[in-house]
Amino acid sequence: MPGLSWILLVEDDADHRVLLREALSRVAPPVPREEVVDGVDAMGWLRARMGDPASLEGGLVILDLGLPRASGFQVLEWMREIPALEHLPVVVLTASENPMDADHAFNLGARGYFQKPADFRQYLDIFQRVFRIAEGPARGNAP
Amino acid sequence: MRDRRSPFRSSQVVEPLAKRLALAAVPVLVYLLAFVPLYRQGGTGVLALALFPVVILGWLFGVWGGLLAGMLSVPLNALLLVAVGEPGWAIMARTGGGEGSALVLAVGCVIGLLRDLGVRLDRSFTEWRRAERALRDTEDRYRILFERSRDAMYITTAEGRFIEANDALLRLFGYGRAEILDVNAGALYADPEDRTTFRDQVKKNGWIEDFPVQLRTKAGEVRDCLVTSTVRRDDDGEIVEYQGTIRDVSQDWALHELADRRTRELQQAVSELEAFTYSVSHDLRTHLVTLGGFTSILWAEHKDELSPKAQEYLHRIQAASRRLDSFVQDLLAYGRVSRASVTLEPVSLAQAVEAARGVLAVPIAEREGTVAVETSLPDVEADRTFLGRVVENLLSNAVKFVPPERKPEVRIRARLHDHHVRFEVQDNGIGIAPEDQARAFRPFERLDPVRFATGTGVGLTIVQKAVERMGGEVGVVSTPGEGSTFWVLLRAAPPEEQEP
Repeated sequence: MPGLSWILLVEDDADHRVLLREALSRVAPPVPREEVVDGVDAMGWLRARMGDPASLEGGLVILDLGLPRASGFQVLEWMREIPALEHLPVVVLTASENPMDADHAFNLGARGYFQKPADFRQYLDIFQRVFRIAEGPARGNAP
Repeated sequence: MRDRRSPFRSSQVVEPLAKRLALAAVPVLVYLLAFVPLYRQGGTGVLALALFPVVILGWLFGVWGGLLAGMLSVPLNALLLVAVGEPGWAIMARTGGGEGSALVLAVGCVIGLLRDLGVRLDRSFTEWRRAERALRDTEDRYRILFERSRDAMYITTAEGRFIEANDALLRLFGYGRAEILDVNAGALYADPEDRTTFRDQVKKNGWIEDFPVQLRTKAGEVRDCLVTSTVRRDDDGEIVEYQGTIRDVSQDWALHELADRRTRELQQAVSELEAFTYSVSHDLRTHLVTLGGFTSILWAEHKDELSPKAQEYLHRIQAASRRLDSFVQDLLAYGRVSRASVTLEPVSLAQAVEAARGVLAVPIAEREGTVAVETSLPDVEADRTFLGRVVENLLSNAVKFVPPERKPEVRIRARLHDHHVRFEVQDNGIGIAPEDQARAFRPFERLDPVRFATGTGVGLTIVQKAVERMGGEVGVVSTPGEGSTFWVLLRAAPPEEQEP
């Protein structure tokens, strides 16, 4: 898949990490995948690459909301303040059912918002759409 | 209202005519009987006797009675003398009867005049007493109103010196009755500017209503008050008095503030509860995602490695986790339709039906069902989100509750009647017995949990709640074994606002 060069998965739940890994291994293009388990680590990982803007090119962040130490919202807020990260696509994937969370995430610059499905097959659909979003030029809305 | 016990009634001032005539008869009779014998004895007795009826008649009938009696007494005397054989006029002239008659006439007139004067005085006095009593009654009545008023009331001079103040005013400002007379109303204003504004407005219009002002009590406390006032002017139009009421609304505002605080606390509690609900549902779903995710991988990719028994058990686990997921989502949806604010606007029913068909495309296809829209679907006055949920739930039920051997056939129609739209979703499902129809809308009621394990029992409750909150009605007509028709009645969108 042209354009995509790395994926950062931010997920604290070990089981969900396994599920996401399984789903990604089936549908994601063969690009390096990194995993971090909380918001602070996510910010640290991104900060480490800010010195080399080229290393941020073609990236995609898959972000959970309910994270320890710093929530997904805090990560989005932090990213919004940093010009180097402004155009890095972030897609939220959460177990939350609160419609306010979606509005909030979009307001903070998320490109997509998906509820984690209870059926593995639906992950595959979701990721197909996530990659379309990642390739899209501008900020979009969840389908 | 005339007081029956009042001693000042007109009948007491002048005796009734019959009584006066009876009283007049006595001196006349005495005169007639005694005149001739007294005359024969000679002397002044005759004059006294002639005066007697004149005085009495004058007293009884006033000046006209006295005059008439005096005038009649002269020819009567003469007639009586002639009757006893005396030459009347000659004798009267000889004995100085002319002077006597004149005296009698004069006395009659004077007595009559005195009597009239007395009656008039008496009447005036009675009137005066009556007016005074009426005035006192009125004064008492208004004074009670003034004193008992719960609002502070006052009368001040043009300069602001208190002339009158009721108890409520004394209580409001904490002054004694004597003390207040030394207080100038101007000193009560917390902000002297207010007094200037107040006076300007009263001077201009002659009155002012509910003028909001902060007034200071003797103890220095500031009270929020509303002052209503009028002025009294003298003949030259100069203001001589201010009078009015002062309402202390500090307490009203305190009550408002209390109500506001309680409302805020309640809103806080509701939003905390909402946050708690979402947090619980999030945690529930986190585990459901794991459970459902792994079982579906197992099912999709490792099914063949499992024995038929293991496959069956896996299928059961998977179905249960899906059910639990639907249940959590339905509960949250119910919470949302119960609390979310409703925005009524013209909404396309046709689009809502199309959207629901899209969402339910997979379950409809799985059951090889058909959905036929039989009529045009007019726009309705609804909340877009709520209507979407209602149509989706009804369509989902129509496909779901159909016996496995039958293909679902859903018919959708709407009818415009009397500014309302009756929207119907008819299925060929299991139907609902009449005795169960009311139960179908209650939460957690599952009418056929054995055959239809996928229901959560909340779907129709959500429909009912959403429709009620949009000001509509919902119901069902059903024949067990043949199918059900769920109907929803909503206000039609005004024709000019129909969605294109």
